[in-house]
Amino acid sequence: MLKRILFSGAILFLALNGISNDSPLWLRYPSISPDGNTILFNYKGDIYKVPATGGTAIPLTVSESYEYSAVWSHDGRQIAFASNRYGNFDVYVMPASGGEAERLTFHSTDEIPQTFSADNRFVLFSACRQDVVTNVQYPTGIMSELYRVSVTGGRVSQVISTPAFDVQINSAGNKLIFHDIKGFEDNWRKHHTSSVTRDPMPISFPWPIRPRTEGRPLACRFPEQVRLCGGRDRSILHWYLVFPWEDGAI
Amino acid sequence: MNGEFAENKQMEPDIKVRNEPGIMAGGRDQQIEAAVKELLRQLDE
Repeated sequence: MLKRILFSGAILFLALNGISNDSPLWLRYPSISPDGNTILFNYKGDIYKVPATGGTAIPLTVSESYEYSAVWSHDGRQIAFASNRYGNFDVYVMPASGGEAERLTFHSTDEIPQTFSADNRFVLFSACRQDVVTNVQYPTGIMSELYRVSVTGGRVSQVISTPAFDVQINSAGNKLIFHDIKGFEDNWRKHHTSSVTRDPMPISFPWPIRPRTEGRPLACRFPEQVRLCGGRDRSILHWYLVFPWEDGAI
Repeated sequence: MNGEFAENKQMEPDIKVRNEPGIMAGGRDQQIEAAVKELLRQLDE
């Protein structure tokens, strides 16, 4: 009898497992390839890729650790993602076809990749490392900054000192658009309507101007205003001008 | 609140000012500036 119960239990377990694998839920952090053919996503702590037309998803990572927030290089050859395989989330890159991941960041705070630079030489990532000293934004661990690191590793530099998520960059590499963070908004809360909800935020980097201090967004003007209808709080958005990097790349 | 629950509601500012990333990073708080300006204006009245 016991054997039969165990056997039935095993069958039931397999059946339920089969069902959950056929129609898995809670697939998160989707990222579509530049050619539109492949989607990366996170499922149960690993990164999978699946044809945009549907089909079988293939895991790109199979480690015990948690991997998420995959982003594509603009040539579609590399991906960057966050992994906590050494305790906290760091930025890694690997070939989009799979292979060995290379660790790019080593700070003890979480670092989450957002996009590649326009020339694919850098990964832009968000982390709460250190604001510029002049920043007056409320100093809390959720108000991250945007950084960049070379895809071959090396020294990290700050791009802007204010929170930037879902970052997209134009092909010329002089404009960013991203979601800001104003406060303690729960990313997963539905239908949240208040002044703390994030807004899309465009930023443009005018190349002829040289920064007074390298990497420090000192000043901005807004030559034009863009009103986006249907935004979460129907705010007025500005094109921000901030000082670019001395070597001309974001 | 006129008898309504405070949950999921916020205090609506009388004057809405957006703090802009580049200006904040440069050391200015536009919301504080607007508040001080308005309070000084009220002092003058």
